[in-house]
Amino acid sequence: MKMLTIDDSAVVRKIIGAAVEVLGHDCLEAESAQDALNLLDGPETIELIFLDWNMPGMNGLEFLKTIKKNDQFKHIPVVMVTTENMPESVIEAVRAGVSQYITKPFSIEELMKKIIDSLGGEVN
Amino acid sequence: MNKKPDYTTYEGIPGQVFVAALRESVERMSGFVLNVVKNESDTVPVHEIIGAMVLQGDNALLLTLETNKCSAAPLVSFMTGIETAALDDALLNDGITELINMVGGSARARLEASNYKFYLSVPFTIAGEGINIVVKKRTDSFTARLVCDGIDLMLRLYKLS
Repeated sequence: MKMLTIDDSAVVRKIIGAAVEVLGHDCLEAESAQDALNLLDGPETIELIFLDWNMPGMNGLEFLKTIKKNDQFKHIPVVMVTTENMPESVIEAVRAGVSQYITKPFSIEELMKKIIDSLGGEVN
Repeated sequence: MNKKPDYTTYEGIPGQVFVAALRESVERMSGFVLNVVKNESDTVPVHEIIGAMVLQGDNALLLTLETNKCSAAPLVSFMTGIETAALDDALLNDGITELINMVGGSARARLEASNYKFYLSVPFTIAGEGINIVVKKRTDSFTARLVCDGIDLMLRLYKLS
């Protein structure tokens, strides 16, 4: 299964990529929302997206709203991974269509549980 | 009967809140448990990376995390699973930037119901050998040094308004 992590921090992309690989999946990386949109338009079929909120250019929430309006991508579950930890932010993201919400800092165990939950309990 | 409002007023900089946020961030992301030590200036290593962000509000603060490559390497290695030898300066700087971002976010949530309610700036890193941030002598500040297994971090807060 192919997943996509979108974060302007290379370290966060590596952390998420490592967790995804442990669970037997592949993870593509995008350092901006625009790069992610280009990847989604490419040949790879993405089945889960990890999304940062605060990024230069298009932010995570704008990206989420964009793909949820697109018939081709709106079914892809999105896990928001962010330092935005205020209740109003979580509500806004849920209303916009995130499947899971994880706040930084997180442990690798928490992250893996969210991935498994997002896949309906399915692990390779 | 009047209910006491759930609001905390800090007279000085709420430094311990940031110490708790840093300890939580490092422990959850890397597994290292930091201990606060007395700040003995003669044993403080030369700093090469300063992660920083501005906390904007009625009580604005500059939050910094000072360290060196030897301390950043095991931290970022345990965060990412990448061997220390394979970590370049860009990843070390990015790791410290991300850490200060998490500390700011965690502290903001902890201080939401206080007189230190703030917005976070974009986090950034200042890198170079022996770097320091110099502020006016009369600026209120808070410093805490935290260590664990050769990792040496200096958390500082400067009151900007």
